[in-house]
Amino acid sequence: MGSTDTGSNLIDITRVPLEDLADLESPALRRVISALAEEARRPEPEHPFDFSSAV
Amino acid sequence: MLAAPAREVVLKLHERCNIACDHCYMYEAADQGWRARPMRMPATTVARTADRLAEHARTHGLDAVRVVLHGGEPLLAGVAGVEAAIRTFIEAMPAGVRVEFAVQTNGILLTESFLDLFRRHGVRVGVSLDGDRAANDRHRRYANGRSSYDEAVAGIARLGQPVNQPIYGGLLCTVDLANDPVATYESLLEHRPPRIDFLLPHGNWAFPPPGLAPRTGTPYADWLIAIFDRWYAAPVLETEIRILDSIMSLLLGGPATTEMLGLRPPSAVVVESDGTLEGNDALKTTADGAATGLSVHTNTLDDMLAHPAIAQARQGIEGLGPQCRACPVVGVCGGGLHAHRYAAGSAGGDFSGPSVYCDDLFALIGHVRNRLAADLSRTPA
Repeated sequence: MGSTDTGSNLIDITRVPLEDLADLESPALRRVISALAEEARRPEPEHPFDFSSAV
Repeated sequence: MLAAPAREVVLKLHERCNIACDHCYMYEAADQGWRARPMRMPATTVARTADRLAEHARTHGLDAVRVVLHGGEPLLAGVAGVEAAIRTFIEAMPAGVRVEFAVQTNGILLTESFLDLFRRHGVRVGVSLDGDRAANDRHRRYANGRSSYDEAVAGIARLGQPVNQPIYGGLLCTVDLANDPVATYESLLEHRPPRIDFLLPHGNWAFPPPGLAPRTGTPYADWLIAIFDRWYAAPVLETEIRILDSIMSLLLGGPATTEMLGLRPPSAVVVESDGTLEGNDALKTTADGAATGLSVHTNTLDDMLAHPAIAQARQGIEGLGPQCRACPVVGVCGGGLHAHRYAAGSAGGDFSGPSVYCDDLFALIGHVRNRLAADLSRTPA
């Protein structure tokens, strides 16, 4: 198994090689993972603007 | 000690609307405070709000803040009024602080003049639309009952022109269980939005949302799961869906981009047209309302964040009751939107229980998690 199920409801993807993540079928999942990877490369975390009644 | 800063001001630039949606939390909910406030925010209040946000950015060393032009219908302030507000914020910000702008509109007044203004200032435009004509007409009508669909869609078509691509924020759809979920999603896709968000209609234990009184099953989860399955399996990325993207991101250890989920303190504070400071717009749907008694004319944004009701709502897991704290999905749902946890009881309301959408959030998050876990388990180790 490539990903590690932590037993909690979070899913640990840190042991999945990046090239395998790129092969995931769902473009929606690939995009989220790309965003997470980009976030991890930032020296400071981004703070999303999150007001829900505007998109 | 200073609280986690606000980064976003929701500016109630114009507190009336040109349509009369019967599901609008601004006018149709328990808090009728709008009746006593100015129709349009005076320039002095805009300026005072800009100064407060600049002061807050300096105090907390923020390098970027956002102003959301909101209402009512903010475009009723007119092109000159909106531009004056934008310029006021730009001029107030200290060097090194980037101010971003967004506007949420029903689209009807989205003229070329407004679009030109928004392009010049990089204002991201979100439009509220509930689906196709039939879906939209369930609620989004003029006061005389006439449909607003044609005018809204015409505005979205202008926004959807290639020249406006950088400022097209997306579409905001309030879920109505009477509408078919996949048909609703596909009708929204026709407008080629870069992002869609599906809002759970505001409600709580005192004022339950449609379909949850009496409670049987998880109708909102079922509705959103149908869209998730359609969207997730699409061979190309058709659009972003904020609530679903946020659930996936949180499940994988990342952040949410909506205050409805996750445990981070919300980024926004609300400034009403009279300068009143509020923590969360959706609290207008509670019997106790959203009022704090604080104002930009007399208080800093940090004063507002220290207000007991606001501070409690920004505590993350510590602000949740025992049932939520013990729940395995609390890191994803975050207890849901603060306003959705409201129950009548003690003064100011009781927010210690789970969200009125608890069962739906649990089912939706579980479904998404199972799908992600299955897909990730198929990647070769």
